[in-house]
Amino acid sequence: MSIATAPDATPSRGRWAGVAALFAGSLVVALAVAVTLKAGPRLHGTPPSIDVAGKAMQAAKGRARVDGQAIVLETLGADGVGLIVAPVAAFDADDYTRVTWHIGPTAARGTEFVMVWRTRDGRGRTFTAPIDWSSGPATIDLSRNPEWSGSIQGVALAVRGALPVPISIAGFSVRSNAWDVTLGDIVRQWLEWPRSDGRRAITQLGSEARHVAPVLPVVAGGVALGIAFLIVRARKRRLPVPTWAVAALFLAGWMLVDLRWQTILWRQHAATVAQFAGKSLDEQREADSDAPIFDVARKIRDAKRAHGGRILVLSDNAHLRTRVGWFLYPENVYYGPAHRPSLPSPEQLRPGDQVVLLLIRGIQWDAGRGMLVWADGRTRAAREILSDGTAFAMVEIE
Amino acid sequence: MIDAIGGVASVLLPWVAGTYAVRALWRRAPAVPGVLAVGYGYLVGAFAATCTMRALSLAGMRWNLPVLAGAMIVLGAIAWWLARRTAPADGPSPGLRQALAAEPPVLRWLFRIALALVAIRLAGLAVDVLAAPLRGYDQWAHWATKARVWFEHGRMVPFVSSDMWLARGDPALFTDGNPGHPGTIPLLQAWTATFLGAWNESLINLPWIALAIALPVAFFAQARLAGASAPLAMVAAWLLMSLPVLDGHIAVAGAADIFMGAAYGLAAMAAWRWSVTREAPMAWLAAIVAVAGLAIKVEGVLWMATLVPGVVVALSRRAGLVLAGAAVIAFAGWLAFGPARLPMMGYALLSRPINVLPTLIDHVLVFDNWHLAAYALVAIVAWRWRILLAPRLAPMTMTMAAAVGLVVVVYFFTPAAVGVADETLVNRFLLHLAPALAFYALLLCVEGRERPGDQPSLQATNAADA
Repeated sequence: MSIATAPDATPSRGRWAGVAALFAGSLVVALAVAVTLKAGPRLHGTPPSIDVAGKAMQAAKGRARVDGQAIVLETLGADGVGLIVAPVAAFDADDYTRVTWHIGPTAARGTEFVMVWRTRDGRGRTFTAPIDWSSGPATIDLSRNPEWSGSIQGVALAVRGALPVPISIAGFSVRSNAWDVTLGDIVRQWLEWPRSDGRRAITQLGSEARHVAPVLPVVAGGVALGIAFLIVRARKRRLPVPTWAVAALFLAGWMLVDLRWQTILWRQHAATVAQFAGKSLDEQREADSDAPIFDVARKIRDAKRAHGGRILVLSDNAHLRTRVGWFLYPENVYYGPAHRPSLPSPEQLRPGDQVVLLLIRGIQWDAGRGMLVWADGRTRAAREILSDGTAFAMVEIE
Repeated sequence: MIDAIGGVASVLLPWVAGTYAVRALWRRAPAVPGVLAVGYGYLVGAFAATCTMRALSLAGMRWNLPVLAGAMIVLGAIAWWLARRTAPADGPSPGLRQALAAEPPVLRWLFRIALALVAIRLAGLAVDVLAAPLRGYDQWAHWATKARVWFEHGRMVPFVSSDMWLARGDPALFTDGNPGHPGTIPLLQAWTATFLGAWNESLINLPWIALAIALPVAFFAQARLAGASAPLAMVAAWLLMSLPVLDGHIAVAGAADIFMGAAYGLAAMAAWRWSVTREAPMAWLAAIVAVAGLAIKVEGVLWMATLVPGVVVALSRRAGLVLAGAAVIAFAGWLAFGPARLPMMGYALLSRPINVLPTLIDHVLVFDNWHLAAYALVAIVAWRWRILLAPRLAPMTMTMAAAVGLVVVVYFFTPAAVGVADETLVNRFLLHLAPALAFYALLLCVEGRERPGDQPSLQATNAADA
């Protein structure tokens, strides 16, 4: 490609208006293409979605309970699978392809989700599709799945792998893929705020993975269309491509995506101020989404104990021990590596070391004997500082 | 109020000292533009501040406000004295106001709009930094851990691996999630805390706001020197500062990646500028910033190594191109005949790639992490491919080729691919490259056009090129 770089005369207002119209037109075309690629054959979707509240669901495998509007899966079945069934009337797979399970804000690493369904023509067969999910609503587009066809008779969410903490499912919805609903979904997702919980600030926009059509390729497509139009027109007229117009199209596209990003940032700034501004450090930590962890750490920090020695925070949960450890600095804290369990042996503990046991199986505190007891039976004498059942204890090595 | 005074002083003292230090580099040469000195001044001054803390620690002296502030004032005074003009004046160079006056009204407005957009963005990000406690795993598991302990002890105390911590049983040893990180970032936080007189988990991140101001200033200054008009340079600075990943790393202050990206970008820009003008002060500036970059993250050594091909090409274009070809052939040979896994610098180099391309494409071209930057870069390189190895551009092209090669190797041929695939590393590592790559894209746009911002020394180089 070659673009003439001869200096352009200052463009007139009419030419600016022309470029603006070209940008708008190109963007509309790009958006229309995106919608068409994602939409089904119908123009209007009625109803736009089929929704099932979590409280209406049942656990076909595993144990669950209803908590408000949600169903909470507490344990998996004997075969390591939990199955939550959403009662739905039969619907046409061709008209409803975008499925969302509204799963609680987070799940532990190692928990896998699978979309399960049956069709009228499937003769009792069960079809599945894995759901790639990390946080927020779990969305899957089944439009390209050949087994998502005919009349859908039943849907369910299978949970497998590890389930160290219960999972809350607030609801299930399947969106119509009609043109108007798809367009609405695309624009609504562009305008929504990706911050899904109270603590995390946005450092990357990976949440756009669940967007029907992320904004960036659509805008890039619009800008590319506009520039292509300029190049073709210039070649036909045997004139140089107006570089100012190319630059204007590019900057307009950039400004559009940046305007969206700016609105996201403004919402984040407002949320940050509301959550943290004007508070002491302890109050800020109480206002954070992991305040219960800070609550535990504060008990440890403020306990009547000797300060200045070493503290070992031991837990099977790496995030928990690391976070509690952070709250205890500037004391001399140990919480082990993030990616592998690392329990000290009895010999590695020094008199005066303080050991925090927090949801850990490898070492137990035997209050009656005044001993830390390792899983293999080894022991170390200690003095209790704090304890709360089997989940939490803080002791000092003697 | 005391917090505000302490916080502002903690930023301004090193910034002013650093600015004079940069100006002092040019004491025997034609004057350096003030904007460039201010842009580079913060990083240089902040690095000097951390060096002071290291020196005091080494000498066994406890940090305190009078000593740290005094050291910085002395450094600034020496730099100011050295920066007094001894070289003959070259005649007044046109200022920004005059440069803008010569532009058409629409471009003057473009300049103002871009400047306003940068200011609005930075103001919002500053609100986030000043209001929130540390957010993000790395911030409180890898970096501020050391800052918190060092501030408490008034000196650097050793951090060791958790295995060593257990094995040694020495109460003087500390540990955290990544004890191997260099100390610069936690030292900056401890520096600010010392000026504040207390640990304040929001205000210790003031250096991130300062850097977010210094980076576009330095970028603008280098863009002007490279020949961009004032409006174009300001728009380019806005494009850089509007990148969502970069903004996110400023807002969630406390990690080193934005510092790493700024240090690499500033070093690459200065190194390129030296390759064109051969000004010794610019080489010194590049070297100082590169050394600062080495002390920010372990990866700093890899990033700064990518400057070497550009320097070699600048010194001998043929030798540089031959060496680059040899490196490519060596890598191909490694892929064909190398062992499956080769330990290197604490990492492992794999000879069979791990496919992280889908994740990379998603995060660069589909999700709005980098706005239209990747599309623009591809289009600009395709548009200007004929001049990529032109004498003026070849050094920067070689540096960027090496940097992109580094990204490819780290992403596809090391276990870091796991971090790319699980989306924790995919944008962070690219952030290190972003400012330098943005400058390269700008160079590709302005090269071959009129260069009104050239200094006399560069005009002489251009004449020699011609």
